[in-house]
Amino acid sequence: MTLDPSVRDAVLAAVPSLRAFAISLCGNVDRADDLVQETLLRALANIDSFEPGSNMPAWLFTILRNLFRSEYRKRRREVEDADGTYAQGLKSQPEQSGHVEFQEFRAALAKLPPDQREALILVGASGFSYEEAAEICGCAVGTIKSRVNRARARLADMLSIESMEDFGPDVATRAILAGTTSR
Amino acid sequence: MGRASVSGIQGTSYLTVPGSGTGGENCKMRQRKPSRPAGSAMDNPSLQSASSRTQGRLGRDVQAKIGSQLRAIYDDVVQEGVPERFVELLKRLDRKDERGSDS
Repeated sequence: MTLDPSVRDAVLAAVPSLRAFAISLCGNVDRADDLVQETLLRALANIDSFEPGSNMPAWLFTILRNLFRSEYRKRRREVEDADGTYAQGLKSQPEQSGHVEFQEFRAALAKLPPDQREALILVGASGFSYEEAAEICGCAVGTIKSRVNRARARLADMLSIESMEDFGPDVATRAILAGTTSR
Repeated sequence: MGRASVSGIQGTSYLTVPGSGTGGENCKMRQRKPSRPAGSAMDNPSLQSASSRTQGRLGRDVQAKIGSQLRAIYDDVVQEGVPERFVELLKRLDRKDERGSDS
């Protein structure tokens, strides 16, 4: 294989987002970086199957997710405590967005089932379309939509219990006045 | 603006993905600009059909807040850029290629 400079640049350009996704899967920066490295090695070894000009980020995300899943299956016992590990990994991160609000949000995110968290991050943070997220996850578009909706509803539930006041009285009042609460 | 991710799809160039060897890896991928779209479906809850009833008790203000917090913690990592180890890794693989083609 020969590494075309434009392909190499496209791979490098995708790395920051790939890391963010990997951290959201692993919940641990070091493991996430190892996963990204494995992904890059796998991708470059199979670069001939990448069609120049097509969607490099989605291609790399798919490889990374597949690698993570196969590792997940191998280490099922370890991963049964995935939520705990995830929360711990987040706590070990430096004071990134160390605001209380963000800590609560991270904790709530960590409590989501992995499938829902993954779908929410692909669509809500990585900026993939529902169709792309479905292709990355190897499932139907409707499945992604439903996972995203359930994830959002669950986060709203969790966050509303603990930090209603964080959203400010104006927001709460407006929500009630506007009748957007579904009671 | 909420549908930027859709307008970014430019064609239907297909490719296969090397995976972990089990089912579902040969999925097909649509072409898309590598840059992040200005807004995803998450930015506009009203675009999501039939989901309003399941969006939790607090409505779209909170949903918008969830979206922005999600992106904020994600972007914390994205803004770290490309760690040196990955730049080095690609350089190393590149050099290996050159040696490979020379011999």
